[in-house]
Amino acid sequence: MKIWSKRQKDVMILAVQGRLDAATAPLFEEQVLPMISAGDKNFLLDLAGLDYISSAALRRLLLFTKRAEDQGGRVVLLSVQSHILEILDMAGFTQLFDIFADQEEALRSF
Amino acid sequence: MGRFFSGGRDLGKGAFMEHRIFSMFVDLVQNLAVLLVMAYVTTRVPRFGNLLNRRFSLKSDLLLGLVFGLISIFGTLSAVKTSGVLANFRDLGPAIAGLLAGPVAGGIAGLIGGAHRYLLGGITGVPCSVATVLAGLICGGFYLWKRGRPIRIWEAAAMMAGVTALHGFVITPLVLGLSEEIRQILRTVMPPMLLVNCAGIALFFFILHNLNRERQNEAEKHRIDSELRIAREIQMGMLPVPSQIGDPRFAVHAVLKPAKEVGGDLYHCFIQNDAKICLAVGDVSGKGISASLHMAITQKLLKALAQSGEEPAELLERLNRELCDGNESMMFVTLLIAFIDLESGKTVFGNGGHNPPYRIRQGGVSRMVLEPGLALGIREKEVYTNQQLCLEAGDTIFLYTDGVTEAMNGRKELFGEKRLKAVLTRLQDQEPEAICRGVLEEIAHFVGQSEPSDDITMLALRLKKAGAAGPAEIR
Repeated sequence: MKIWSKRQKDVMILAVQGRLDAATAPLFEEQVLPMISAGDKNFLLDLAGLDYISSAALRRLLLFTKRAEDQGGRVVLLSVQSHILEILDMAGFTQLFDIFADQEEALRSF
Repeated sequence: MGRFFSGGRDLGKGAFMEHRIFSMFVDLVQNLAVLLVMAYVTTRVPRFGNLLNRRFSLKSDLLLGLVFGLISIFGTLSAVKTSGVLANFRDLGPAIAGLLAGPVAGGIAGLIGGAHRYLLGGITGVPCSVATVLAGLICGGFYLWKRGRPIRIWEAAAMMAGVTALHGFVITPLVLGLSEEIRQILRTVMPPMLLVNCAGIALFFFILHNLNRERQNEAEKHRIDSELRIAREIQMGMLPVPSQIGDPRFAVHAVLKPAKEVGGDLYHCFIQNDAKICLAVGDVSGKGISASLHMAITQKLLKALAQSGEEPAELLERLNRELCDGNESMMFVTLLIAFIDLESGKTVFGNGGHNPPYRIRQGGVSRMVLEPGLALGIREKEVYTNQQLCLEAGDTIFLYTDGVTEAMNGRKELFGEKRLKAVLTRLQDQEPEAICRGVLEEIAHFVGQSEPSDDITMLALRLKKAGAAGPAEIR
């Protein structure tokens, strides 16, 4: 699992690549939660390179989103692959996130 | 017996002498290595137990004294003769015995090593044997002073340096005076002896400390393992055993296999008013201990709330409110509840973000289409809907957690819905127990030697055809 970050105005774009499972989910948390403490609150998660997400990782994603929302921010998803979308949909999570296919459009939503 | 110090005249000055001291040092280290290997082997003997931080009986004192007395003799016999001067680690055995078990063991080891040295004679015979006994006694005194606290490595090295210095710089000159010959001997012998004795005892205690730590880790691991085993028993004890429900109207079977000792999967199964059977399968996010705590809470809540007689959606809403309360860590639970009317087959589902079940019907296996609904524990005011489908007599409904479809093999491939559907199709005529067993076997075959990636839960129920009773049913 790798995360690339890039800031565009007041939105932090995070590209997540690889597998988010029980082993890598804690690393995800360690890398993204401090960004909220550091003052970021709007996030665009580019999941084009995400191969797999486990339920333990979903919990971390929720926690991350909750913390961002507590700060008055938002987490939106970009380029979610169909099999990841299926997992998100199964747990009813598609109703928790705005999901975009186009980065410009996603950025405009903030 | 002049052979011990016969060649004093050969000693040169400068580089030549340094070379002598160095080669003497190397040889001593070689002999010491033999001793340390012996020490290592002895400490591995289980009945030797923990040598550090322990009180010994008089019998053990005597035994230790004897063993380290023999090591002391080995120290003398393996002495390195360079230019006729003997460097040795005779004092090491008694010092170790003293530090491990006190003055009795140290004294005995010293007496054995010292007596042996005395019988060999030579001009240093008297001071050497006296020093050896004293080494054991002094180190034994230090043991008493420590009052059972374990001897640290540097303390052992410092004690060894002390008794070696006492031997060379106090006792020998006191007995023999400080003639040029004695000075020469001391100058040659003392540096390697000090170094080797200290390094030897430090290594010995290093081995003991390591062994001790290893044993503590083992004990700790054993303790955690046994606690986890108890936790597992408690967790498994919370789950009903549906196959014990002897009802001619259906056959039901459940399997729950945590990936670790404890897990986050759950299921429930009970009969309501003799008219409906209620099935539930759930999955707490993550696995292991944290998930198991949430599993226990959810299982107990579900059991308590289910008695109210409410429909699945209302049950999910009440459970969700309880689970949202104080859920800072965002632990969530996916839960599927199904109430099946045993008369009509009418089935009401409530789905909290769980994978929909399979329906196995003569001539076809299909995944039932259910609205997902949100997993529990996330949004307090979430509203769930009751979804109604109909089962026919002879149908089997198969509920499961994603541990089944996301079981992973060594190539990181997932078992997947396709394989699951294929197994279910193959087993469609089987009873629930055989179906669960068959799926488990198929998963085990697929996963191979890989560690289980998630908890696996299956709950299968077959509605029997009216009039048919018991396993003797003929189709």
